Parts: sequence; structure tokens; C-alpha cells
Amino acid sequence: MNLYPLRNHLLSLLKSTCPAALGLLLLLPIESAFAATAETILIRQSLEKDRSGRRRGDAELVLSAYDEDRFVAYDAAGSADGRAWSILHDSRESMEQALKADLETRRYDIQRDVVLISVWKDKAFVTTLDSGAVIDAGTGARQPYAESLLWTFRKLDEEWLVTGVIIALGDTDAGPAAGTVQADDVVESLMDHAQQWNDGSHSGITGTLSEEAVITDSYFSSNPAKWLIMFSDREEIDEWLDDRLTAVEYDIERTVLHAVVKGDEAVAVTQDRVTASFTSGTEPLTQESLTTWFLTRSGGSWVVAWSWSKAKPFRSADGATTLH
Amino acid sequence: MLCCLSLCAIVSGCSTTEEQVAEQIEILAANDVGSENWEAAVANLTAIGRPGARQLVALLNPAGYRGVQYREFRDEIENTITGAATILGNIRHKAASASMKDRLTVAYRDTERRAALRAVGELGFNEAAVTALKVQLKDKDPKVRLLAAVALVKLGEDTLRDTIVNAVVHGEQELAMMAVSELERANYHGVATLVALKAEGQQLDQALSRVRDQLIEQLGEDDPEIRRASAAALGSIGDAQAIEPLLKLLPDASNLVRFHAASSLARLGHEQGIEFLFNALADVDPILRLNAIKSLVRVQRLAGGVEARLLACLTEERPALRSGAAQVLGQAGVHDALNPLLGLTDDEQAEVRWNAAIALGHLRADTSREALQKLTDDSNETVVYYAQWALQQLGAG
Repeated sequence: MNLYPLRNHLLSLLKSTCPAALGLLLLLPIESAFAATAETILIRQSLEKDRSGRRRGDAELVLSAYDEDRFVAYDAAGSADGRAWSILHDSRESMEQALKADLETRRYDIQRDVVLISVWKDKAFVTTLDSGAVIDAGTGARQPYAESLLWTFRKLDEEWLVTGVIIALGDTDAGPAAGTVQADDVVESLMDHAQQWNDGSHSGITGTLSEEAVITDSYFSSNPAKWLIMFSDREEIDEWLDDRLTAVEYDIERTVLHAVVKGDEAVAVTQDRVTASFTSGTEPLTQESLTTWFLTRSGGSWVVAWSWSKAKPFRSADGATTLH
Repeated sequence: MLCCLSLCAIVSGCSTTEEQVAEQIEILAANDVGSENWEAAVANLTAIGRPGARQLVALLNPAGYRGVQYREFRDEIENTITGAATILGNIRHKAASASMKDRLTVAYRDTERRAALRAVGELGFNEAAVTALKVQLKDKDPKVRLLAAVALVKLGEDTLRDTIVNAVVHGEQELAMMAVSELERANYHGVATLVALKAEGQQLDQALSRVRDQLIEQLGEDDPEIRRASAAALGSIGDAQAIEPLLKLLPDASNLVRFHAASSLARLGHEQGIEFLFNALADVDPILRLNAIKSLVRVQRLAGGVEARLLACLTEERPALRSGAAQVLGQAGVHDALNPLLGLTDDEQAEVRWNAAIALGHLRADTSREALQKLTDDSNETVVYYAQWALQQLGAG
């Protein structure tokens, strides 16, 4: 709820009737009412560092918005289907080199429209639409530029940092893509993850997650406006599992449809048939869904960094299960 | 030390209820809507009542299912939303109205929408809810339109009765049966429509019998508003089986319950109800007299049967009876009372004269013009005022 109009009305009323009370009102904390707005302002500031840096040809300014601990750039290849996605830069350093080389030869005269910001606790995802022109430094030739981007963020010390950018994200009309299974160790890791669920192993499940693992529910839609971050880190997932595994037994039949790696980063897509049997109920529930996984190698093992569960199924029959 | 123990007991008590609610919510989630286990969880949570309401309201918004609340199966969400809506409606948790009205839209599954439509009507009048329901009256699904109309009737929007009557009289058989079933579920709110439909020749004896039994049971409810509305609705059904239970309400602690029980008894032609109302008409307490007048107007308009006694009261020695009977006869539009009322324009009591003038104004008979004209010269200012008002009702002669 926007409390600005109410507060302003009270302020003007008190200003005219009781200046002392006005002083007291100004001392009241208002942070809680505007907390959500403050987050989006900070996220926009980070996005603006990226845009301004590109406009000015200042790679350092661009990189100041990116997380030093983990940054990955993915190429969505114009698709909303994770099976088309791959890794463009597996680290901030790799991005830095490419960016510096790019900004020496090209200048970006771009505008950025922030389409959506979705925040849950210290994690967020954002979609933007960049438009304008790319100017060749040598010839001055202008090429039209338009790019749809999906960003992932984490908040660290009151600053929102970009942890990932998915370049050339497809829109809701984008069709299905054919996956590529290249990395056997990623497949093995995802199959092990499913087995931990089947075994009801709490520690086994959390052992396959990174500390900052984020789970997003896509509600069977490729429209990011319908997605929600459900868990912002491993601790939150751990708490949920405490309750959930006592009430539900899972059986996951998993097929890995896509698994590609670059360096210590991987992107994968699985098709899961999940059956839940409830300890308090009689009828098990079954659900088929696609999940897009971002994985990172940690201590020699692949762990989940971010997952987009219940991705768009690209089948009209499953569309009926969408919430909105 | 004692304080600490008490605090522990309170905290422990709350925690136990919270856990109990959480367990029942898990049962709701795990079982199909309408299954035996699901219905049992609904009954258990309804029995827990308000202490569980906060957790149930939280279930209404699926976008809020995060962290430990998260459910990955849409079917589970359907089971919990439908259950939460049903229970919150059962316990009439008014604070749920804002969340409930948002679940009416096409974004939700049919079972969720229907549960929310049924519940929102139980939560009491709320402008936002009425607006949201009116939007649903344009839905392409006739069942949704019907449920919205029933919900609006429950919120006091009586103009929607025609929509329900049309569904029964002109709708397809399935819709007609659903309409009757919803009217039954609507408790006392649906009685007037059921009775009107019966008058049009619909076979509704079984439905009315079931509602009657429910209403009789509700006469023992703690909430006086439920007792009052149930007593009033029993008068509309007009079944003699209600007489004994209604008689037990004549000494009720609530004025309104007593008068509605007496009105219903009078509508059923029971002498004890009629006697109660006429005794109150002569009471020294003006509030009781006012209630008696309202009740007798209702009885005379809806069932008749008290006209002769009212006319007799016009010649009673006690001015309160003459005055009260004049008001009732005027408001109920009893034209046979015209001549006796004209006779009261000469009454020695000013209050009787002005009430006779008001009654004549209601009846709007041109033959009363001369007597009313005469009262405009009365020594009492109030009599003069109402005589002038009554003449205005008669219009230009």
C-alpha cells in the first residue's frame, strides 16, 4: 500500500493546526512502509551502473555492479526454453576481458526499461528491455540495438549485486528448443539430487544445494511477471524440508534433457515426474514439470545455484495448471 | 513466578492450537475437495474457529506461499484455498473479506471460486465485496452468476432475487437444482426466495423442510442475530412445527428476538404471539411500543389476521392502544380502517389525533380531506403539522 498520500495529508493538516505535533510526526520511523521501494531503488542503481558504464565505455563502472564472488552470463539464444540456454561467461574475470575488448571497439548508446523487479528477502530477479544503437568506434556506423535481459541479484552489505545475466531472453511466444546433453557429471549430479528426494534424505537434498541457492516457481509460464522466488537460500529450504518431509514422501522420475558446461558453471534442464504421497492423506499427487537449473562447481561437486522449477511445459494440456 | 507459569501456559496453549491448525491444513492439502478426510478437516478447523483464522487467511493468497508455506503442487493449493474459504465462511470471519473477494476471479479454479463466492456472502456487507460480486454477475458461466447472485442476496442486495428465480423457473434442470441447493445453503437469507418460488408452483417442500429444521436448531444459537433472523424466517416458511420452538423465545433476553418470534407466531396464527404484540402495544415503555408497531405492521402486511383486533383497539380506553393501532393500520394500508380513523380526529388525546392524521395520510383517501383540513386549526402544533403533511399526501383536491 502506498502510504505517501496519507502521510502527506497528515503533514499538511498538522502543519496548519499544530506545529509541535508535526515535529513529533517527523520523528516517526517510516522505513517499514517504504522498505520494498528502497530495494527496487537500489536495484535500479545497480542496473544504471551497468548501462552508464556501457554508454561511457567504462568497463570498471559496469563491473562494479557485478558480484565479485560469483557472476555468470548466460546466452538464452532468443528462447524462453532453458534447453536453448548456454553459458557465455563463466566468471566475472571472463566477462571483464570480453567487456573491455568490446568497449574498445564499440560504444553503446542505449536506453534501459526495467520491466519487472521481483524481490524476496536478499534475492531478486529483474527483466529489462534495452534499446538504442551500438556505434562502431572505427567507422562510426550505428547499428540498431534491442535486447531482452533477465538478471539475478543478491543483496550484500546493503548493496544489490548482479550474480547472473541471461542475455537474449525469449518472450512468451517463444517455442520449445532441443536440448543438448554434454556433461555426464552434471547429469549424474542431477540424478543424485533426485535420488536424495526419493530417499527422503534431508541432508542429502540440502547437500546438493549451494549456500545461496534460490528456488523460483515459474508456475508453468514463460512470463517472468508470473514467477516468484520461493526460497532465497539453503537455510530457508532447510526449514521448509523440516516440515515438508514429515508430511510428504516424494518419488521423482527424472530425465535430463539438457546439460552444458563452461568452466565451473553449468546450465541444465530436467523433466521430472514427481509423485507426492501424503502421510495424512490417501490420494498421491503427481505432477510433471520441466526445471531449468543453474549449477556451480563447489569442492569438486556440482551444486544448485538457482533453479526455475515448473518452467513453461510447451504443451497446451499443461497450460491449464497455471495460476494466473 | 506465577506470572511466568501463566505466560508459559498461554504460549504453550497458543502453540498447541497453531500446531493443531497446521496439522489440519496438511490434511486439507493432502485430500481432494469433498473427500471424507477433507470434509473432516474442514469440520475440525471450523470447530477451532477464530484462533485458526490467521493461518487460514494466509492460505487464500497462493502468491504468498513462500518459505515454509510453500506448496509445489497446484492441486494442494486448490485443496487449501477451497478449504480455507469454506471454513472462513463457516466461522464468518469478517476480516477475511478483502482476501476472499480477490479469489472470485477467473484466475482461480472453479472449486476455489465457488468456495469463495459462497463464503464472501457469509462475511457481512462490504462495499468492495459487493462490487467484486457484481463483476461476477457478468461471468460467462451461469453457475458463477448464480452463486454471485446468492452471495449478493446474503449481503442484503435483494434486487438479485429475480436472477435466482429465473435460474429455477427458466434455467436448465442442473442449474435449477443448483439454485435450490444454494438457497438451502444460504440459510435464512434464502427463505424469502424459496417461499416466493413455492408460491409460483415449484415443488420445494423438501427443501423448505430442511431449511426449517436448520432454522429451528439455530433458535438456540448464542448469537442473538442468528436467533432473530432464524425466528423471522420461520414465520415466512409458515410451518406449524416451528410454533413450539418459537414459543420458547418469547422470554428471550433480546428484545428483537422476542418480537420477531412473536411476529412469526402471529403470522402462523398463534394466539400467544398475537397477545404478546398487543400487550407490548399498550406498554409504558415507548421502545417496546415501537417494536410492537413494527411487528404488527409486518404481520398485517405479510399474513393479515390481526386486522379485526387492531380495529377494535381504535375504540380502546387506553390512548396508547388507540394511537398504536392507528399507526399500524395506516402503515399496513388497511382501508377498512378509514372511518374509525376519521373518528379519531376528534380524540381528546393530541397524540391519538396526530397518529390518526398520519394514518389517513398513508391511506390517501380523498374522503379524509375535510377532517384533515379541520385538524390544521388544532390547538396542538404537532397535530397541525401532521395534518398538513397528510393533506400533501392526498394531493390537490
